[in-house]
Amino acid sequence: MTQKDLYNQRLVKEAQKAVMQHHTRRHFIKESAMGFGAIALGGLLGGCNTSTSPNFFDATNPLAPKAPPFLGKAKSVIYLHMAGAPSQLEMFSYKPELAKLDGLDCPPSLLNGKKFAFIRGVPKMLGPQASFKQYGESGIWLSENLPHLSTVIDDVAVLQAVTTDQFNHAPAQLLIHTGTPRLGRPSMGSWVTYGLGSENKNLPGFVVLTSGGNNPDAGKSVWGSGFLPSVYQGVQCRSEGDPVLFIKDPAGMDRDIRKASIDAINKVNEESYTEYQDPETLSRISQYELAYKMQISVPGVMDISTEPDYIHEMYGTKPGESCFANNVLLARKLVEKGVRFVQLFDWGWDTHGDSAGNAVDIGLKNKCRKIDRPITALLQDLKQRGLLDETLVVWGSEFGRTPMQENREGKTMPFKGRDHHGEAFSMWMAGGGIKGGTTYGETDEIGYNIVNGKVETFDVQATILNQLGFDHEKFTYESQGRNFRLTDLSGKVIHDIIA
Amino acid sequence: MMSVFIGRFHPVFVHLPIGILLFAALLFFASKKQKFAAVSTAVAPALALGSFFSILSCITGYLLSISDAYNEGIVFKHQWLGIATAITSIVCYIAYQKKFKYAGILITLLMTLIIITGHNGGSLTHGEDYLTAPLSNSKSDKKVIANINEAVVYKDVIEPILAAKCYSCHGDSKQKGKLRLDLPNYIMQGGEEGKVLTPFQPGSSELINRLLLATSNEEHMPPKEKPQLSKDEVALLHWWIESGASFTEVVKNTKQTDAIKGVLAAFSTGDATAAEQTQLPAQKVSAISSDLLTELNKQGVAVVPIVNESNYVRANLIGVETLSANTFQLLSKISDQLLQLNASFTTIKDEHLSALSNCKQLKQLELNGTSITNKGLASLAALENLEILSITQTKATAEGISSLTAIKNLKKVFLYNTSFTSAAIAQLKQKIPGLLIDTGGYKLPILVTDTTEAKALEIKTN
Repeated sequence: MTQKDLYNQRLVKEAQKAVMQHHTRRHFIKESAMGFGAIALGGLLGGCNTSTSPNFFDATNPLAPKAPPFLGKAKSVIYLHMAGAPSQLEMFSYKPELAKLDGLDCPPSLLNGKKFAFIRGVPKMLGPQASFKQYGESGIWLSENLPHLSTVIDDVAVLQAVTTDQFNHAPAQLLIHTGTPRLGRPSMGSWVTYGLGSENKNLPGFVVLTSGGNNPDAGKSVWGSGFLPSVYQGVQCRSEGDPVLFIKDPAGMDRDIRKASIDAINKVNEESYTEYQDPETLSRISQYELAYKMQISVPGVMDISTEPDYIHEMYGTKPGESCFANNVLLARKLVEKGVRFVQLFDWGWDTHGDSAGNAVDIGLKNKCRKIDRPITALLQDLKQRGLLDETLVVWGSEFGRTPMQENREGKTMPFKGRDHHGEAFSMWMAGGGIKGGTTYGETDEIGYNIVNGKVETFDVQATILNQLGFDHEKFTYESQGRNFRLTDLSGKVIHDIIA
Repeated sequence: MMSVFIGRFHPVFVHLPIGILLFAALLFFASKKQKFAAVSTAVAPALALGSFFSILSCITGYLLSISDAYNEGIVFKHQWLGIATAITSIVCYIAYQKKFKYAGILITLLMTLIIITGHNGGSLTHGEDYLTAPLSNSKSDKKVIANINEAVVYKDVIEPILAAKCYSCHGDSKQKGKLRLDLPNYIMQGGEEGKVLTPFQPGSSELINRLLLATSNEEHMPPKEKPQLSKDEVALLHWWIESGASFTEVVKNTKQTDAIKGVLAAFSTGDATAAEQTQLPAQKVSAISSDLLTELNKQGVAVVPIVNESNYVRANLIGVETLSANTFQLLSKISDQLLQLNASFTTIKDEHLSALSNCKQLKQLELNGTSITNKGLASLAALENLEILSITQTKATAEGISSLTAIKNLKKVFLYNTSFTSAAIAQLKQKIPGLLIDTGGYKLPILVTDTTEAKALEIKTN
């Protein structure tokens, strides 16, 4: 035996001894004492945990309807998101002073220390490119771009001073829909379907419809389920062709064979679940079943051609086309059938002024034309069906636009456009226990900064959850050892706009 | 006001002798042991330092007591015990230096004095029951009043609010701003800035105005770090002053708005907020048996509690594949708990509705887009609690009016796309004043902007 072997033997022995030390009685008692101490401390500090909500997830029936913690006014939500950020200055925010400054150089006081997405150097101020009037009993100022909405403005609560700290589309969209500008958190609709489930077991609880030719910049993450079970993610439906791709059985496969094959797949999945106990397997099983039911229910509810003509006239819908109006009508149909959260994204509001379609005096007007009529019709249609009281309608975007004309790379743009502006923008809510005919918040004379009534994106989320019967601070989900909320660590319910 | 300024250092100084003297006592007793004999040298300086600060505490404490309004009884005790503590600490120091045989007893006495005096001081600043409150079994701080209408407004409703949120600074033990709110004569007397309330005029009553200021305002009450009054509590105080700020009036003799009625109703159950009380029936109900629930679920009926842990439920029939008489038999078994029923767009028929007539708790019924007719409506007359009825897109007609007027509590009815004539609507309005009727049929005018696209002006290229 060489010296080296001896040495090795000793090493092995020492290692064994070290392992044994972990198993001696003394070590056990010593460790236990610490352990008990830690347990006791955990008990003492248990106060931190009392405010969390229990896990609602029932893997065998993840979308079973559930009761909210307190009585909410709203049972469902229709969220209309204008992706690209519409200009508040041509829609909701009346700024006569800005008109007087039109064409003047922007004073340095507004530029110092600010960062813009595209504005460089000294831009010119750009007056409102639409005229404003007061409407309704409430006398809310609205621009000529929203002639129809002005007739129902007394049902609407306008938030004039919403703010965000993100000035690029994707992170700003993530912030308002998931509570963080980064990827990975569940979206608002996922939270809501997780908390309330769905009363219609034949339809998904969270449906997403997009229009305007593109998905929002942040992609499908704005309706993703994050760390919530994936069954709560939004189901994107199309308003043209098959509402859900591949929902029809292929030629030659009848309903019985489909049923038999799904049963067989589920059986295999059930065996897999007994072996690995992964709850996602159960989600998969229920998703197969839902998909099977959806094959019948979805084409029915997604078919707007069966609606009477006067409804088409009211919404300005054209069956067979892919447009925002069709999606709005679909949203009404879905809510009527018990869908919990309908999320609409309309793309094409990014009015930088780089083309006529992106000009605040041309393209924006056309975008407004395409939403004004259907949205107004939606509010009235929900009302006449007795649904507006229990359906919260939210309109908004990821941010607003600057009172300055965009001068990309310091050059004059071919058309009138505005740059991204997160400091202050407008949103509105209606129905679902919201006090109609109110405005909340105020911006300065040119709509640049907030004067009072600041609303953060978290406050919007807190208010939506509140209307559904949730305390946003107590509605949590544990992931990776921490309780998460939609509103992260902020959020105040905007009581001033609640009836 | 130099004396006040110096007096306010009392909270700073007062903790020094407590700590130092107790530590001195600890050192003293420890030094008796062989093992810690070495610490004995620290006892004397500790006692000396403690004595010095206890004298300082006495002086500042006295200055504070004459500058601010505190409960005289406790102040008296605290003052003299404090002085006794200071003297005892000096005596202890001397006794220790002289190696007095019974110094141990003196130091024990000193410790006792420190504890009692310290407790009294705590009672002065935090209120007398500060220490013991968590032990007393008052988990639900809202008292349940069986019959709120017979309750005395001040004693049963107002006083508990003042006690919970105001007494700690404006009560027996402390009178900030020379104001006491714990007894009727003090309330009416007001504080150093004058009266705090004017009966019948809540708007000009400081008591209300201070509550309504923004929390960031210096004048806001209670101070922002103290527990705030809830919206309901402010409303109750407002209502009390508006109805004359009487100390003897009973609830039923006052004028109450709907909001106040809701808040008051909450007293009779002791839980839930006012808003919930107005929507949930006051009486308790037993839970639906799990067998019955399973059976309803098997049929495809979604049955959900109205709110967490409530036995009252809402049912939705949208998932029922084949609606039969059996479904409604099951529903009538949960008649005590059923508050809302949504049967819109189902194959519900007139005869099914008769099975619902014993669902007396039903508040909301949705029958949109079904084939029900006036015949079915007739069986709804017995639903005395029904408030919201949606029968849009049905075959109901003007003759159905008599059925609707029979529903005594009806508040909202949706009649869009039914054959109700405008004459019938007018009649309905007359029969049930205050009923909200929505007949829908809204039309949007076709505007020029709906059809003309905005176009860019021709840009001259040449």
